[in-house]
Amino acid sequence: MPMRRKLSPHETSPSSFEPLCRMLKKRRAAKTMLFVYLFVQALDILLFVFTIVAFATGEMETAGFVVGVVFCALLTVPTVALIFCMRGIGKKIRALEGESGQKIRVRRRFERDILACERWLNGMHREGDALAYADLGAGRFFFIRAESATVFYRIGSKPADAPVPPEFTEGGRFTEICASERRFILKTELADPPLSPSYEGELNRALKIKSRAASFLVGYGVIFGVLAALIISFLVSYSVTEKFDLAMVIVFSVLLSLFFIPLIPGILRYKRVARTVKPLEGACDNPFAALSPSFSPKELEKLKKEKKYVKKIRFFWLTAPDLCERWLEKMEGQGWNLAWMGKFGGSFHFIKGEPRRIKYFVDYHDGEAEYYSLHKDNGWTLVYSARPISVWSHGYVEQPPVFYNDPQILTRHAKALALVTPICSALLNGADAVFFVMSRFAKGTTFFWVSGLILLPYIAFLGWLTQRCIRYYLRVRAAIKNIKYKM
Amino acid sequence: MNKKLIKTYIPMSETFYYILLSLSEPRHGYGIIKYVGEMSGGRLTLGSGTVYGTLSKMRKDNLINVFVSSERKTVYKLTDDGRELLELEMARLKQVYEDTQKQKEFFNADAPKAKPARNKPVFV
Repeated sequence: MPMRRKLSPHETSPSSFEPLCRMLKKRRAAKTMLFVYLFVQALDILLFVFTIVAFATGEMETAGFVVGVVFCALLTVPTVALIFCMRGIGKKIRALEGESGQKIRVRRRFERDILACERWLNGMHREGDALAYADLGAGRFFFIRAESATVFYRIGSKPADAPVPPEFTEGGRFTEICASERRFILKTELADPPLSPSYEGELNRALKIKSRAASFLVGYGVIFGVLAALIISFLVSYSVTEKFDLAMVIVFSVLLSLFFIPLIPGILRYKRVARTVKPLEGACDNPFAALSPSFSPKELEKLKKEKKYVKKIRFFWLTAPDLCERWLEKMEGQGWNLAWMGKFGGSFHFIKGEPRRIKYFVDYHDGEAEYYSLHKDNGWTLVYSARPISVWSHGYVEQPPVFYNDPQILTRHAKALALVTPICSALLNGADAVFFVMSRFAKGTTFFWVSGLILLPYIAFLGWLTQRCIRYYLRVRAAIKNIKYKM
Repeated sequence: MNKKLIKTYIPMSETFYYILLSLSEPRHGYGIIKYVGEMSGGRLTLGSGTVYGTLSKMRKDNLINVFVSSERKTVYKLTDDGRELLELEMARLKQVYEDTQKQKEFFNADAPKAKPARNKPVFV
């Protein structure tokens, strides 16, 4: 008898589906048990093989062999029983489904691709299974037998404490099927309803996951890339100045490649999310869209020849965003209009035009769709966005517009930056220092000097970054002192 | 109402007070900015960053909730807590005003015309 499991608190189901639910739960319990028992089964097979080998080589007597085989056979009994039990349950479920016309399908990760899930629901309805209810928290969908029809399902998202917007169901355009904390499902027969839930919430969610995946990749890549580069340069300088040791090179390369293994699931995750972002961007008017290149490479080449296009590379503007804002404003004042920024924020592309008075602002906020639409409504242009960083611009005549009346908010980020950078660079420096000290114990002194030379620019660079962050924080603090608003 | 809310929010900052005040009827974020601009006669220009941050904070403390959220606009309305907090602050401001009136004869409070405040940009 498979064990009985209580409904976990987040699982909900309509009461008419109770018998089917119970059967499904039984099947799930049997499946779990089978999965656990398969480990025992694996051991059993090993034991069986061992017994046969021992008997064949004459290590074991006949009596021992018989006992061993019987024991292995006994261990197999529960597996077979479980498999039969599951088949029985499966038959019962199918019978129940045929009898009541109900179906329950589990699609746990439906939120990874909302559009595909909607297509799936539409397809189910076309085959005569209408969605009656969905437990969105657990990803379980409950269907009942209905006439085959072309119906469109829409999964909308909403803020956690809000009800389903009534204007969708007004006038009978949509029928509400169910709602969870953050999502709801509507049904309509119109192929192109005048007002329908937007995909912004889903897009926002996907973009958040994408940015998290990207920052993991970048952070991990930078830290270990730098370390790997250092180690390799040490190895090279050691091999050149002291002696070449193949074994050491191999050991270090294997160790180094181990470091990069966590990148693989990270890259896969990023690719998967990026795949879901694309269709969602096409499905709604994307409020997260930033400025993007509006010229073809050919046109750019022409503009460049006419000295009307300039590309500037700035990688570390984030360590002192206020300086970057002032620089961009100065460029605008000279008629160099910022047209777009590179994908990774490292390049600024300017097109020669009229001198403009434009206020730039760098903000740190991983906001909802409302964050972006509110600023855009208020006249700001999203220049660049890589969550949680966004760059905004706003043209003005006399008074520069304000982004925050209470810029104290900025101190939090500046402080974090001013604290984290020195710690990170100290850690990185510490790792290098170990190599440096190690090199002292090498026989000759040449290696010591070479490694010192490699380290010096690196340490100088980290020091430069650190002082930039700290000075940014000090500037913010000094500016905040003169602000009169309190929050 | 929660004593802690009163302690954190009273006395209120001007921006916080005006945002709460503008929610006398349900409004969305940009509506609040426009309404406060009109109500104060251009004296107060709210930055959209401040409005967004304040609204999130108010929602977290259950001073406001989402009224209707359709296509792109999230409309907020006051909760009972929010209303109570606003009324407390109003009573405080009334007291401030009355106290000011008592001392009126010694100071020239009415004369200078309130100029539209110059919004001080932070780093300019």
